Amino acid sequence: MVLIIVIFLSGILLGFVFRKSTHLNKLSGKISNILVFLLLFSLGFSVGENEMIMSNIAHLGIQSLLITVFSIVGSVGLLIVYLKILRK
Amino acid sequence: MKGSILLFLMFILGIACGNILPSIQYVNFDISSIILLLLMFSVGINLGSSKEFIDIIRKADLQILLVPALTITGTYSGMIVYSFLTNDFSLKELLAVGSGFGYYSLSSMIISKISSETLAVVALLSNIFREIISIILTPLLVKYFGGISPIVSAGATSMDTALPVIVKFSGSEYVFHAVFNGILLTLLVPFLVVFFLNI
Repeated sequence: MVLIIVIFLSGILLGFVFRKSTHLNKLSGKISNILVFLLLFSLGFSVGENEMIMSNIAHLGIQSLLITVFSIVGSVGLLIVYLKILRK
Repeated sequence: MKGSILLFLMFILGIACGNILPSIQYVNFDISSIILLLLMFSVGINLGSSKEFIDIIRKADLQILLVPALTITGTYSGMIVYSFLTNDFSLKELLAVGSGFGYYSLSSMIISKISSETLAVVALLSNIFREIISIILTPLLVKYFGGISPIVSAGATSMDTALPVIVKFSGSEYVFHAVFNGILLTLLVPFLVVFFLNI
């Protein structure tokens, strides 16, 4: 957690110091694209290899998914309501 | 949309590989941690070298609190509505699970110690789903509901795993909202989960 933030901040600092290099900006953009795919793969991997999750996924998966859907719809829904009130 | 489908396929492929090759748990854990760190580093470089970076710092104000406030109240609103539709969980259990805001490792660990194993598995799954679905839906959310919407959807994960996708699709001007939202929610997760389980 702390390490993640330290790494993140040092990346920002490095990028800021070398901000005149457009090549560095483009390269880091491409690399982060590839890493997002790898990260989602590894997330899937940890779900796939977790026997507790895989054996219970039929029973608990749908209930959990519904909780997720209501969490996301509630959050985004409230945001939409807020934005509509703000615009008026 | 193409990006979302590709990300989802990547996730499915990951599940298949993880299920077929279950013996390399340690290796996988290290690799995903390393990938995350590399990702944070490259996103950091990308941010630091972007032209808008100094502008964003100048524009930061107290309104930044609005996004986590919307995430929390929105999530709880959703849980209150769902509590009327299900008999499997009580409202306080739903609020405790919702209080993970995508931070599945910590929230499920706390719940397994205070409450039941079943609720812990539900907390684990639903918060993993929140992280993954938010990442996958980010391109669509930005298109229809604007740059803030994937941040409230991602919750606590808007500062780590979901951040690169949010920066890519919402734009770098949203990065401080995303990081601040994620940091504040991550800090609140243990307090809120414990609070709802002890009511």
